[in-house]
Amino acid sequence: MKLTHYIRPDCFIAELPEKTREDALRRIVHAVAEKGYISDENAVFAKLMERENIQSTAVGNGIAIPHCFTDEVPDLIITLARSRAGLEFDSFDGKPTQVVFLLMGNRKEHSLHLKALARIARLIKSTSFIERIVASSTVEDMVRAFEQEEGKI
Amino acid sequence: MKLLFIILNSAEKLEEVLEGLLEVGVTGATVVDSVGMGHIIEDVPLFAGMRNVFRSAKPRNNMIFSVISDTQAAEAMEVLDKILGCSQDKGRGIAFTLPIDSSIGICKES
Repeated sequence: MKLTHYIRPDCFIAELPEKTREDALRRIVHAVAEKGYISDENAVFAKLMERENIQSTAVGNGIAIPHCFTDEVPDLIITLARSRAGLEFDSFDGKPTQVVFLLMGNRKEHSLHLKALARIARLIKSTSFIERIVASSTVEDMVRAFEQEEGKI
Repeated sequence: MKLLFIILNSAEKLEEVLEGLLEVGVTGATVVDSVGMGHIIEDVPLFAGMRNVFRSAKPRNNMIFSVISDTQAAEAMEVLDKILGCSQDKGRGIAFTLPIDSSIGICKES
C-alpha cells in the first residue's frame, strides 16, 4: 500500500496556530469537514479523543498519529498538519508535537488501517520525512516531501 | 503457503521489520531471541586471535518466522529487501521463504 493514495493534500495545514491537542484536532477535523470528506465533525472529533484517552498517539520526536474508525468515511483518509512552535500533545517523551498525521478509516477496513499505521511508523523512522516536513515552506512542499520520502521505503 | 524465515543480524531492525510485515498484511509471527555463531566462537580460546573475523557478531539477534500466503510472501520479500538490503560492509540480516507441503493447525482466516 502507498500512503500517498490516501492523503488529502487539500486538507493539509501548513501552520496550526493552536497550542493544545484538543484545539489542534478540532481544527484539523474541521478542515476535513470543510472539504466535504466528513459531515459530522463532532462525531469524528469524539472518536479521536476517545482513542487519545486510552493513550496519547504522540509517539515522540515531535510526531503524533491520531486515528479513529468512523462510518463517516467510506475509505481511509490521511491528512497532515504542522505546528512549528509545537503542540502540547501529552507525548511520552515530553517534547512538543510539530507534525500531526491524522487517519480516519472505515470500521470495515481494519486491515488497511493497520497497514497504514505500520507504514507511517516506518516512514518516520527510516527517512528524513519529519525534518523535511518541518522545513517545508508551503503545503505544496509538504506534499512533495511526502511523495519523495515515501518513495524511499 | 510459504514459511517466511528471517534472521536479523542486529536486533535494531526488529521493530522496522515487524512494521514492514504488518504493512503487507502479516499480523502474526514468532520472534525468537538468538545468538549468532560468531558471538559464541569468539569466546573459544583457540579462536581468540581471530576476533576481527567475527567483529560483526552482535550480542543478540532475532529469528522471525511466519506461515503466510504466496501473495504475502512476494510482498514481504519486497519490503524486507528495502529494510534489510545489503549495506556496503555486511548485510543486516537474511530472509527467505520455503514452500509448505503439508500442515495442521493452520486455519484460513474468515
